[in-house]
Amino acid sequence: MEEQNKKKKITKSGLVLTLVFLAVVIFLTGWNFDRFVSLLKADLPGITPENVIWRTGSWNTAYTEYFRFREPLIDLYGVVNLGLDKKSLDNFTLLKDSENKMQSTQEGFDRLHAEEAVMILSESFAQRGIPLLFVSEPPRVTEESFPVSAEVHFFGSRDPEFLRALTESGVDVLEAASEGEVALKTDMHLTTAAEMDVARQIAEWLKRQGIDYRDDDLIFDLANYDAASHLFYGNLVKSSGRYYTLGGDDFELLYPRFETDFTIDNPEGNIERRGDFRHSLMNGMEDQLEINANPYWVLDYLQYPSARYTITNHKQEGGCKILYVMDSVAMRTAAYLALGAGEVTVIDPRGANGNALLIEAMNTGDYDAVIVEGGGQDFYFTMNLY
Amino acid sequence: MIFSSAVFLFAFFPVCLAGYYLIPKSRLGVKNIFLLIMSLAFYAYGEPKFVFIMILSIFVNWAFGLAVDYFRGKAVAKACLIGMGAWNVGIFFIYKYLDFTIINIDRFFGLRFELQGFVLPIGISFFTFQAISYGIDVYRGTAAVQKNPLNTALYISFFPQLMAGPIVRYNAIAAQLTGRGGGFDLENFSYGVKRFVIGLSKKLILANTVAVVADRAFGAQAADPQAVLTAWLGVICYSFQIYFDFSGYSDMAIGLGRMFGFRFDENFNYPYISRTITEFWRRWHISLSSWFRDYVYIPLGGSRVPTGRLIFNLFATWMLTGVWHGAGWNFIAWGFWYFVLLTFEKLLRIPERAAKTPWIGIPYRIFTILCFLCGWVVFRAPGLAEAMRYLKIMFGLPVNGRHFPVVSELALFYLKDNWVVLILCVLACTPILAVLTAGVRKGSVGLNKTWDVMGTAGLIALIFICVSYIVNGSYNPFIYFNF
Repeated sequence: MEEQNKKKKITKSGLVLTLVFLAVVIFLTGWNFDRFVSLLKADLPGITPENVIWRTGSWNTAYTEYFRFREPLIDLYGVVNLGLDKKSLDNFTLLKDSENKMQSTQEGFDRLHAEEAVMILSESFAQRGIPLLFVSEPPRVTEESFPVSAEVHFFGSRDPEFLRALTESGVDVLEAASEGEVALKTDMHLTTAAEMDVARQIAEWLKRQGIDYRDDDLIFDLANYDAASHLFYGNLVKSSGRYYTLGGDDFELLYPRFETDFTIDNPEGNIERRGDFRHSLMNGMEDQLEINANPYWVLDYLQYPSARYTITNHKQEGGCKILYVMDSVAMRTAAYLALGAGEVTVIDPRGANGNALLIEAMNTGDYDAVIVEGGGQDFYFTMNLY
Repeated sequence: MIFSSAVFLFAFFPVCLAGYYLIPKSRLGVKNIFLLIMSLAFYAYGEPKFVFIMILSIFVNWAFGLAVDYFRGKAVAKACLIGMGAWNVGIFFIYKYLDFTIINIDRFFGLRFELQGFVLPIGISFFTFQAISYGIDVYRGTAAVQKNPLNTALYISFFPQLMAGPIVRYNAIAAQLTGRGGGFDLENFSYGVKRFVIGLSKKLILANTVAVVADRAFGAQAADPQAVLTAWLGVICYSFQIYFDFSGYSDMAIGLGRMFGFRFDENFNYPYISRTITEFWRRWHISLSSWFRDYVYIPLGGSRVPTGRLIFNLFATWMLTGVWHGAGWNFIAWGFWYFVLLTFEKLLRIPERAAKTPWIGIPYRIFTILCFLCGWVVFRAPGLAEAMRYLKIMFGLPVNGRHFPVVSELALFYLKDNWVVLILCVLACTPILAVLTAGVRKGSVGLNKTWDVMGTAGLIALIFICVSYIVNGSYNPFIYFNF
């Protein structure tokens, strides 16, 4: 009798476990199967033994990236990692520092390559009498916020040896600073206030060089802007959910109260957009506010990820012409800087054909000054200027 | 395809399960054909080119098996068995060791043979050894010949154990191929689910987490361990990684097999609690060590031979075990390491003494742990020179005149970042839960009921946690896919 009861109990708990397991496997399959099949159908004509492994990777991604219940599951993943007291995630690429801010490691950072790239740019423009400024953004990671920062290279970290080498080679270096919150908590980008601060310090450098940068008193006074704040979930939330990060960021958007008129022109992408600051440089994306689905919409200033585009400021005709070589860490900085310049050409070497466009600009471009600012190692790796 | 991928769990597996159970239970042959087709598709998903090699290998082994049976008792049968062995060892050698052999011939004799650059078919070490076991079992008469080529094919290619074992002996599964019940058995199925979920959790939550520290310490993503503590943490994490990765895979294989009505033998039995190296190898990768015992060591004469012959038998068995794991001097050194340790234990009768004498037992247990940790360093390092370098750092010795600090900020970070997972690993590699369960079973009905509810709730929570890791996770293949 006891044996029978035991067997019944096992069968009952086994039944519950089996039902839950099958429900999870089959129910989730149902949600995503159409996506998988459509990808499979699209891929079928092109499948060869050589590319099947690459394609199967994309099928697997289709299942993970487009999971119907992805968000709550990622939240659960974050909660489990909170329970495990984990500070590093995703193969040590994402870390949470002592202030609960996201940090991103940059494995194998090649300092010599980065130094060489910036020095070549500086020397080439100097030969044509064009001054170049290397901007080291306000550091988001410090020895206090993350004790291993001296042993690991982080995205956007300030590398004293790198900056010393540049200075000793005659490159002008701006170690930009910002008071208050420098960086977002859930992403690698700076806060809007910090990017505005960087733009102001670049403008001050431009003026010290005798370059015709205009209206800086107006541009860098926050009283001349309307501010709006949006809840923003950055990359860390995408990887580990809302609870692991202990909330999101307040992403601040600044709208000039003064009159603005810009054209952004991206010939390679066949894009030309004219309007005020908000509707040309901010891309109008903040109106859509699907921040959770794609958090970068709110960050989508200018024309990311195009390799080259030109911002013309119709209110500052005849003003200075600036080449801004950057990655996405400086998109808002470039937009604010454009408020006092006649023209800002942005080159992101990581974009399609970016390296060739940079070499072309280096050899023939007509600018009053060049600004270089990149936070990620791929920014430097893609620059091959020899 | 790996069991911990979304495509397996949410596409391949449900289709396979539905297809299998939609076929009437009386049509076991049709179910087997269906499983065979799914197994070949499973293999082709990641290695489309090699599926033809596998089909050819299946056909050749089936034909040799028939010939061995047909000529039973005659010298031709032995010749057929040798032919079958030559075929299996031949393809195994070509894909796994040819380039390694060429490199070393070139190096030692100053020649310039061209490397062939063959890519290693995943799982070749496992399915080749299964095929060899089939031939030997038929020859010995411990299993009947399989006349149906489709059943031979299913035995060799059945997807749960195809990629990384356990190495299923033909005589252990022959009867199940044609005689297992084809219907749905809740007890079997729920046991399969339980084992699968436990295996998946071992892989995703424990193995993959500690793998990050192991990879960094062994230089997959950074330089050498920069401190003594990092080196120790690295090898401890690797020991947990390889155990939970491989035993997790075995759990999943056993669980999946059970869901389709098959019973595979256990492959692990808490190896890290072993008192001696001999015991360690009775508990670690049991299907491989017993394969070598039954098909190599015992045919060579086993232990009941003069000392010199015993040493030779151990040497041959352990060098083959090392080489089986990979074409590299570090695997050969790893096999040699265990040959030395096991010979030492055998000659001094250590297992018997340790069992009887606690004051020998406890220090010897610590010695055993140190031995397999050092063994894992040799196994994990990219080469022998790197392994020696790593061992020197572990024991605080200078490397090229450079002394490494005992502790670094990064090492402390790894420790703080993984302390909970490391505690879980220690608990999960001991039978503490099994002992607790056994204790509870002796208790009251109420306690038993609560324990069962807690166990089921825990497994259900693990299902959701595993899915969350899969949805979030990056591609992370199993270690034993490399062998």
